[in-house]
Amino acid sequence: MHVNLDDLDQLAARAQRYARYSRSAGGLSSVIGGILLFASFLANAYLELAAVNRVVLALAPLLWLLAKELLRVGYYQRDGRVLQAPTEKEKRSHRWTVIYLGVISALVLGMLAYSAFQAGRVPDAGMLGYAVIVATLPLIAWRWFWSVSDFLVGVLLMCQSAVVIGGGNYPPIWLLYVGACAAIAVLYGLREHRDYLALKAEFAAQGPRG
Amino acid sequence: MKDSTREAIDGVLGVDRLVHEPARLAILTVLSQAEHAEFSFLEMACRLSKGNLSSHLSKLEAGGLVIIEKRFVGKRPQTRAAITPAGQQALARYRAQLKALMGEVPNNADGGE
Repeated sequence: MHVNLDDLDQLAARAQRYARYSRSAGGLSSVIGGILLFASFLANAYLELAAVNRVVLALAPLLWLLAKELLRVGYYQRDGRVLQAPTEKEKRSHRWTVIYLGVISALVLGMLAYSAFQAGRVPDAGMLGYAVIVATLPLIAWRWFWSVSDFLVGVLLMCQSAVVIGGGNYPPIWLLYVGACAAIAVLYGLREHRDYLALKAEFAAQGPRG
Repeated sequence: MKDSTREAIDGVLGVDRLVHEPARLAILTVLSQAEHAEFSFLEMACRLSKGNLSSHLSKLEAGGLVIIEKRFVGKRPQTRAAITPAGQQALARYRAQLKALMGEVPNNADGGE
């Protein structure tokens, strides 16, 4: 018999690690997300922003998601896409994240609609932008938020984006919390990226089979 | 012949030959860790040539152990494979048989009978 269970286990572990970069491991995109997150909160807390700059700042989540997808396709999974099969625990946690954000989103939208109705006027463009971003949050979470760092960066970036487009801003005290979340995302991302480099080296070290 | 030896021989004869072939075993092992995987990744991870991989995937598909999906992404053809529940069961059964066999076969260094 030429089969070694240890070799098979190693192959399985490598495939699983590679597959993580399709969903739960962001690598450098988590680093980019963390930096974008802190920079956007910092800019909105201390700078007087014109309408155009507000729109640009509100695009930060899109930029992050774009970086995520480009890095996945062009770098982390350039040897072929492998879709991670989440464990039952991961599926449960993802489902509850989406439900939680869905409920919060519905509550916020309900309150917005109620206040617009009470005031007897149609919401302005800023408020409509705010509502659209809040409404898309659960959908984006369903598609992209598969890890703690995705959740931290994604939710805060989307909230910031909604507030910016609505004409408001988070007070500077939020920078402490946001800074901690950004640091977690950057550290996670760097660790994932290092693990990816090690994984590539392991694949490269395999000899040819035929 | 001792009962344990007879059981070991029955075990060897009883392994699923479709799964037992090393390249197919590697393919199933990789696919068991993902919802689906593209052909190019299987080629790299299992260290197989395109022709070999294609031939082994066809055999696994014919045995109902994997599903192969061919599609176009833009103008680029893309082939991806996924393990079926029957494939997962066959792989788990094979691993259990192998573990049992390894436990039963005496180590030569210890002086097997």
